[in-house]
Amino acid sequence: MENYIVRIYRRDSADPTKVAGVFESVEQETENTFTNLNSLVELLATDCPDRDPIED
Amino acid sequence: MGVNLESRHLRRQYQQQPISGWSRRPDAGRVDLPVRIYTLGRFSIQLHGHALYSRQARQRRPVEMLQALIALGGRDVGIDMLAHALWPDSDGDLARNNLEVTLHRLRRLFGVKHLFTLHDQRLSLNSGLGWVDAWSFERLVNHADRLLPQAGNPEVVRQLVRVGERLMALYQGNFLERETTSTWSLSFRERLRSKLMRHILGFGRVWEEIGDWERAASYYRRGLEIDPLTEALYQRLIICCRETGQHGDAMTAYQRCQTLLAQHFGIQPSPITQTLYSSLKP
Repeated sequence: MENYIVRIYRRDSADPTKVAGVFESVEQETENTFTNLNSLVELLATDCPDRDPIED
Repeated sequence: MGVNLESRHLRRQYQQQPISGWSRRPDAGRVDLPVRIYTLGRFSIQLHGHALYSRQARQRRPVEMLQALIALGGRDVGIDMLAHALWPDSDGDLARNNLEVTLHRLRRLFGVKHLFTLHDQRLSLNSGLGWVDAWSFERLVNHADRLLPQAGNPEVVRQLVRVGERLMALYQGNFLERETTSTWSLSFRERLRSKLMRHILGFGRVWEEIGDWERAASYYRRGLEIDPLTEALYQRLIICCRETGQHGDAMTAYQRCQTLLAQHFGIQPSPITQTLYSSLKP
């Protein structure tokens, strides 16, 4: 299991994809920031390279 | 928050309460209990007033079980859940066996009869024998939740002063922050942290409304020590400094907010913060 903490510090009420926050990987003890949902997804996608494929 | 601004009488009465400066004195309640466990910002165990916990390897698993038990609520924790938390890669029977052995060692470590009770496959840390700072913190938070809506009442304000001081004194840091990053600790750690941040803002607004700007500012500064990216705390701090004529401190707060938001997110302070900043200019 992978554990992350996501803290949201700013939301744009007019555009829900605009969120600013901190993405913390608990096991790796790393912290990254994001400024929109895409960059958050990107952080999630790149954080753990050794991931088993998810079957449909 | 619907706090009624009472008369000068209320303010005078209230301001007789000293600011203790976040003393490290723990919660004074239940000092008579044989076991005291500190988990906020540190980990230590006191048994009959003497430090119990040493970091010897043989104590590691029993102590981890105690920590997990507290994180999972401390009362009526299903032993299967506890076993899975501590031995996630072991199958059910092996994990259960590990748990029984470790519980035996934990009981032996403390030597306090009935400190850990097991009924119907549920394990509890007996709160009649053991005090835990995190539990005390949560009880105070619940108490504050009941008091805050009545903050127009002078007696309630006096109680809030005491509760606020005790809350801050108890919260010496995040739950087991230097001990573990285990999954079982995260939810409880974040819940306590979130409650503290919410209450810092809640208490601060009460102090503001009764005109104790200094106390309010000290709460907001404490909040910023815990989380320096919370813009709402800068906004309130700027207001407190402005109201007490400390424009230099208000400017410093704004600049720190501006710098950190730019560094971390590449964004400017929000329009509300910028308006507050504009209000500082002569």
